[in-house]
Amino acid sequence: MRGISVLAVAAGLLAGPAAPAAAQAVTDAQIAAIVVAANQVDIDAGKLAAARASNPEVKKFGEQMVTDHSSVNKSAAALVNKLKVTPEENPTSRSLKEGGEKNLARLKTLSGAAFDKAYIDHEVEYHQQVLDALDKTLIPGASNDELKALLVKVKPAFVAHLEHARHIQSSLGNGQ
Amino acid sequence: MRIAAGVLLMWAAACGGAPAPRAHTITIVDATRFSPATLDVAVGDTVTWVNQDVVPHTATSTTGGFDSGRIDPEQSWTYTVAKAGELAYVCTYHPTMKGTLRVK
Repeated sequence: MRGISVLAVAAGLLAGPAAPAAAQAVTDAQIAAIVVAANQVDIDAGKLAAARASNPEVKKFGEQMVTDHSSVNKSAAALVNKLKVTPEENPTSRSLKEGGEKNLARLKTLSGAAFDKAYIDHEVEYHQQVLDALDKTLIPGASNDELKALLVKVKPAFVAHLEHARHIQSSLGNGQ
Repeated sequence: MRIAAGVLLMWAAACGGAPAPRAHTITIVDATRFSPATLDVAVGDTVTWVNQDVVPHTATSTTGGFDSGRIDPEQSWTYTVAKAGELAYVCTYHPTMKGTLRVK
């Protein structure tokens, strides 16, 4: 039963907002692994963008993702440590990592404006998916109050990232 | 010179010429805003930005009056207001976060 629910979460993350609302039977240990994986994926992509992007806005955005997601992971690690929860890998955390690796592999084949566009397009999609997962699965699924509170607290930063990425996406689309 | 100005300021305050400097706090709860976004202050007041968010922020004047640099989560930064006017500021990391100090 738990396996099916977690698969549904994975499907939700992969398919994006159009996917049916996922069931909520994730454990806190699984949520912890999902949070760490989600942040790590975006840190890795951000590092690549900071080094490889040609547009200064895109480069700065990449640096920002490294800073913010590292900071969120630090808070998450501190809380997980305090709660004595051992993050438990699950289909969602694994699919996030696989998705991140595929994205990196693709980005590494690109350069210049094509890289910038591919990176930002993926950031928009990624933040939408993570926000969707936060709303539908992670926040409602968290049983520990402090974990739930951290997830709620993290959300506005992700919303700000999504807005920022969309803003850059539209400026790139205008033939820069 | 600076000491003389300070003494003068204290003398003015003692004589009721100017109210004593006040301490203000602006809280950063999340990556969307400064709270309060607009704050009325006077020259000589202190303003402390407290970062209660999970990501770092800055309070950076758009006209070059002050710049906190990076304020990490659970950290704060204090600025002693130096000049009058409307001082617009942003978080350089999250440019949609905007605030204003209205300095008398």
